[in-house]
Amino acid sequence: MNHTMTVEEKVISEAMHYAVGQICQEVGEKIGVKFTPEVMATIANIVSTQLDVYADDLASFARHARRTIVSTEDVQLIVRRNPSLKAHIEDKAVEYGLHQTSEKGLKKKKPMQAKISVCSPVREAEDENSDQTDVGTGGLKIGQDSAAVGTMPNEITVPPKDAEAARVKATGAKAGPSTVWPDFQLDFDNIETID
Amino acid sequence: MSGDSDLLRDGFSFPTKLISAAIQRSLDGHGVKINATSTKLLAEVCRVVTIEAAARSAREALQEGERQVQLQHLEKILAQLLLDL
Repeated sequence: MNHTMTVEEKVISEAMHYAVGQICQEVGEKIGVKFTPEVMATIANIVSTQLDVYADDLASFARHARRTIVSTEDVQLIVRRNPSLKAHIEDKAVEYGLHQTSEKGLKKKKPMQAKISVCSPVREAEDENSDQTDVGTGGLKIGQDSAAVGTMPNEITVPPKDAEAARVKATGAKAGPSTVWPDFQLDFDNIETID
Repeated sequence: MSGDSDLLRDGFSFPTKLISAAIQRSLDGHGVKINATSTKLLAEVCRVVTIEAAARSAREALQEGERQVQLQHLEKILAQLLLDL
């Protein structure tokens, strides 16, 4: 197993680890279990490795289509094998596409409202801090066994504001207007080298 | 079924900048770039992978009567998880 060589790679892997830890903690709270540090580290490794594989595939897909920019179609192609994951990502792609249009074209009001109305019923139900809406229909079923997950007790989720504050404190990220995508600061100039 | 959507709803996700930094080297090797929406979508894929790994391991642990998810539980579900992706 290769150890991370450069400082940049080390920062990235630690950030991945942190994000995975956050997600595991949320899942743990919802299901009612705790994850050991080894498990979280291993999951982080798995996701990092998958990401490398995906990056390679995405680049190949884009080049195959004679493009130089990886598009959302490429990302959707990556998950084509698993039907429920594919459907979930398709929904998200539509959602992100609508969100992107609504940020740009604020000139014409009429067509804009038609687009926003698709999203708003779901958005109103969500907390202001969270953009992660489940636009899918019944819920995600990945693989055959995940049906049993539905029988788990549904724990109360961590209040998003506290999670946001905790995350900001931990990463030192700017506590700006809360978005789904925290402003991740990779400050390579100020990283102390490890000899 | 409803439990699945609860796990996916409202969650911390991978920061877009992190994902783009992580894949940049691979992309540069092929001479391609990625746009913001696709990075966001890829982050969502990673998030689902993480949640799925965590949830399946947790179910394994609970089936054994444990409230702490350990490596042995993760190992049991790992093969099927990778096949399902």
